[in-house]
Amino acid sequence: MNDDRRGADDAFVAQVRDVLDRAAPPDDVRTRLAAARRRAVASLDAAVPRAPARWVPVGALATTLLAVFLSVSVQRPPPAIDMQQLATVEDMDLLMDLEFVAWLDTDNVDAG
Amino acid sequence: MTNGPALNRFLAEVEQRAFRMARFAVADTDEALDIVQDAMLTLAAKYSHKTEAEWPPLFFRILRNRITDFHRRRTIQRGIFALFGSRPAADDEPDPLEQLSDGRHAEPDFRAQIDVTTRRLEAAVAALPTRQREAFLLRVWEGFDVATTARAMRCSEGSVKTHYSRAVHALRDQLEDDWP
Repeated sequence: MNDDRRGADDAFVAQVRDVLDRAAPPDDVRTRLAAARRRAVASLDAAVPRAPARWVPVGALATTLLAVFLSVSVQRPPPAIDMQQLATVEDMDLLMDLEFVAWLDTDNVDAG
Repeated sequence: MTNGPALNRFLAEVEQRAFRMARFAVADTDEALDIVQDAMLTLAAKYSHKTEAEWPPLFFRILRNRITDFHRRRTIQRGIFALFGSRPAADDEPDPLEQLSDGRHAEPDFRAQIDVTTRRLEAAVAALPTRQREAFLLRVWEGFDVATTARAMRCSEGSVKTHYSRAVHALRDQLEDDWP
């Protein structure tokens, strides 16, 4: 009984499928469907070049930041110069000190 | 790399059936075309990277969602127009499915090209409850198996079997007497 019912259902469904397949939409609908399909496929093609292009501004920004960082790093005086200047100052003090000592010596001679 | 040619083939294969499914649901050619186009664009934009085997259930799921969106918008519009009294209230407005079943109000160009048997079948399919109609058309027309239909409809396989069985019996009851 169930097999009969199932067989009848299958036959009915096959008939329905045939009838549905036979009835194509009118020409203008098919034309509009084809146009919609072309638009969908074209949107896919148009999206492909945009994907890498999105990274161009990011890459440019990163390159600029790197260049600025390197430029600032090069312009900054190295710590050795500071030490040299410091050494120069110490020499000057030492020199001034020696002159003072010499003056004292001279003064002492004159006074004596 | 683009899936353009493959996507074109797939859409060309399903577009007419998708249109008629949408038309069953909304009973308006222009709305059905808009819905199908929107589903095509969404598939291309969001799911073209998926394998071709995944496209059929995804496409028909998108189509279902767009149809649901249409009915939601229509319900809201009816509510707003009914509120301000500028159009007939929802209860007074003819059901689009009744229009399709009746055949007298449907677009003449479309109807003229469909024979009586097909018209009767379309009316019966359109009159099915939404879930039954979806399960029936996806199983019979798209040839989806139960699992794929369940994915497209976002429900269990058991529900698909129930909806499908009820749809077949309802259609048989309606059409059996004068079926060719």
